[in-house]
Amino acid sequence: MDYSTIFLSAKVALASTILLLLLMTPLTYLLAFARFPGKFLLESVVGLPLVLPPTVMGFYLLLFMGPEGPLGRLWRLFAEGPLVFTFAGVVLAAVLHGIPFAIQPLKAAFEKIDRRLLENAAVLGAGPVATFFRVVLPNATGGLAASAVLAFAHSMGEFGVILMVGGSIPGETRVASIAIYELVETLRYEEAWKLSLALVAISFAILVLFNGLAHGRRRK
Amino acid sequence: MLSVTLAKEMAGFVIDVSFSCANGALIALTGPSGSGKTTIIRQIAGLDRPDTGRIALNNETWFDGSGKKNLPARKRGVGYVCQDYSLFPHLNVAANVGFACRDRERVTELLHLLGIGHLRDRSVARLSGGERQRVALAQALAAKPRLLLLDEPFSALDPATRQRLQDELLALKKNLAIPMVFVTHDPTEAAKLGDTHLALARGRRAESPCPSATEPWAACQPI
Repeated sequence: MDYSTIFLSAKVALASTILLLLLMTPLTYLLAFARFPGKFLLESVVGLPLVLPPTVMGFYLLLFMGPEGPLGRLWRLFAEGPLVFTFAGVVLAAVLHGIPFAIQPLKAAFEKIDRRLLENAAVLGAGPVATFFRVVLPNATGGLAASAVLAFAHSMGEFGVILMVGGSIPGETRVASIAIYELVETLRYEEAWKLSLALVAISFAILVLFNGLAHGRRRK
Repeated sequence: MLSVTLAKEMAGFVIDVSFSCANGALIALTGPSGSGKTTIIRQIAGLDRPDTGRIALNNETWFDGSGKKNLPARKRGVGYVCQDYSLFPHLNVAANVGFACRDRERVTELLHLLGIGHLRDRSVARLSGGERQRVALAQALAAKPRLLLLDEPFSALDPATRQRLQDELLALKKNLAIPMVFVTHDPTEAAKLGDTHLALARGRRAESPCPSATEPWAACQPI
């Protein structure tokens, strides 16, 4: 039985989670606290992956990231070879598809922070960046953890977008969910069973760990 | 010298006041709840925007309704202590006081000055009301404010603690030589602390700031 596809899924999930946290935390800070024209448009755009069929999103990403697409061209300025059908391309697709899952828990945590703390920081001379690092982030650690867990779990189970952008190249883009699909298609049910069960176990373990930690925090 | 002239339309009434406060003096702002006291304080701090008017400290204009100048709160250098504590819950006492001050010695000095030196490593969640207000005051002073705004800082405290903190504030006032604006709904407190006194009624200077000739406005003098 070959479990390497699970490791690939985990690698994609880990990379996309790190990228999502790095990119979405500042963006969410902006969405939660800043006022600017067109904010509702930006909120709608980042919510799109939640409602679009993965195949639709994957199709546009394929065009966008392909050799003739704007992102594909940009990629070739810095790297050899194409972006689609590579590990990097799959991670990028998982990041884009995971945006709303990373943003939602963070936004809830940011909005729960008492505004008077932010006002106090401002009165004490802290600018928006200092306030972000010294007040907002330390008071949103629960939201950060929730965001990481949700982003990781979502990327771990990502299927449609990865299939469109990554295809199914062994060791490069054939993640566990795609391997399961192909096993079922070729009627290899026993292997599909084992791989599926492993995915369920991992996802369940992540949720148990997270809920256990959250429970412990509340009791403290 | 702090000089304030401001107007702001509120729900149901209009705030329209003008006052000034010299360095080393304390002006007491009194009035019933909903008369606009906190809004005035917040506008001086830069947390709310007046509709029109002018706010200036020592000839530096912070807000000018005509010229559209509105200096952000973080650049005004005010100390602001309010009734509901806005201490940072993730920081201990020393880190809260040192939020705007890297100088550890100054933090230690302030902790001792306000009698909370023994609390320096304690979490702010485990402080009494009086201790919290001392920490909040130390935090505001650590930033070396050019103006101190106090919005009912002692009103949630028991009478004994309250009196002690009032006395300490009077002592501080002598040393600091900056203007102080003190909001309170307690006439006795206003009379004890205030050099001048402004009584508000629905956003404007009250017709007669002294509610009765007997007490407790003995020290109350219209400005």
